[in-house]
Amino acid sequence: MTFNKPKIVYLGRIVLAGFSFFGDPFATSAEWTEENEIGRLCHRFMEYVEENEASAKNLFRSHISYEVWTWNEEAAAKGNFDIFVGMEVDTVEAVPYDLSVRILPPCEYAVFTLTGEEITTDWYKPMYEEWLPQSGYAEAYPYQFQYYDQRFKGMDQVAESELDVYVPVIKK
Amino acid sequence: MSPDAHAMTALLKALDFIEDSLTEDIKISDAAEAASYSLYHFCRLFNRYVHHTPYDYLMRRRLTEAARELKKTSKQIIDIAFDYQFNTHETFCRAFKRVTGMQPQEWRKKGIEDRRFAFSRRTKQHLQFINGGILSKPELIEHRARILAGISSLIQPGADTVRSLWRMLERESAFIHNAVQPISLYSVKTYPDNWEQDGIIYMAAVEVKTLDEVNPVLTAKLLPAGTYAVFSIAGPYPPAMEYVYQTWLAKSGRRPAYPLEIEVMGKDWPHTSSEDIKRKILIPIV
Repeated sequence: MTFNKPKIVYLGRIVLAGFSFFGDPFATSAEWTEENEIGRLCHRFMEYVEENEASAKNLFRSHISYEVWTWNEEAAAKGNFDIFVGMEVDTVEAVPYDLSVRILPPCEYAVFTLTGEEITTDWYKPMYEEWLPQSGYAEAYPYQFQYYDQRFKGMDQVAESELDVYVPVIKK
Repeated sequence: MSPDAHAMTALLKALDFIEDSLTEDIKISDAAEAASYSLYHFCRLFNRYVHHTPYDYLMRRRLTEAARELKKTSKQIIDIAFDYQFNTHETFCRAFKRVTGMQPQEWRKKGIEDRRFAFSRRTKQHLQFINGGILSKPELIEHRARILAGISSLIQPGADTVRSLWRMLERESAFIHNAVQPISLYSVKTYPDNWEQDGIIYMAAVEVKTLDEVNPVLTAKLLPAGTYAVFSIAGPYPPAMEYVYQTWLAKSGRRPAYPLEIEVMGKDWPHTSSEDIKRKILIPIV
């Protein structure tokens, strides 16, 4: 699989409010559908946003959602991943007790744009094992996030969708 | 048999009798007889071991079962009231509102069954817990807002992810440079309305001073400022929490300010300690 060359962008601190899942996300369904734990997590989060419409309007900057995958030793050992789904907020202080907060530090990112069926392929491997080693950059932090804006139409319309993947990088 | 064991055995007989008679026309003296005690001695012992008067216990059990039937069946409210030995619609409604905060009609439409609060049958395990001397009277403490950093997950009922959350946090803890000292480990459970079906949000965490330096692989949470009821316990968790919600909170006239249950464990990692470690349970109340 070959990607278009990623853009390198600098982003300031990002404060997200949402829900986390830790565990094997495919324990209930191995398919790339909305039935697995990630789908359930997104669904729970969207439901929360709808149920708390009035306060959510003030809390969140936009409807663009972030899916943050964090690499940890439990993932390698047992397939337990840490996945956070949320949207951007202006101030941490305004986040209510029932949402979790994730703060992404200011850093440079390599941004890969995935188009159509690419979204459901194993894009992680070529990014980290092929692009990164020859890029002149190293991984800055053990996480990456997927940025879901209006270009992403849903897992049932993958062919018409686009998705950006942000990999935190630092010049070698 | 020690006097305590004797009393416990007798009270368990009375509890069985009450359970079998929720829809029967019984008096407290009948329950005393089931325990083979005089009414006076029975009431004294019941209070001491169960922390409810026998009558309060009987009423709470009846109303809990009535509330369940209101949800599960389409029986007329008055029929349910009569089944559980309330003589009039009015006495039923008044008692019902006192324990659920709602009228039966409203409960049927909008009430959410939540087993944290539904007054469960007391068993030997409860009596041993209450009388083991391992639960303190709560202190009411005003607390400022706190910032926690850790690992969080939606947990489906029956999932066994809690231990891996703690293992993960233990590994990451070396990189938490702004933890409040001495380190205290927190478990925070958030109960959404539909938690019995969809699960709770669990967080394994430590308290940190600021959010500025939170390690990007950790999740943060803000615990709201306010009044917390703080219980010190050592021993098994479920009967402790049933006591906290169904006995202490129910009788205190207070209610949870937020559906949060916070456990503070000092520096003993819970995945490698026995369940007898001392810990504090904090419930935000109003």
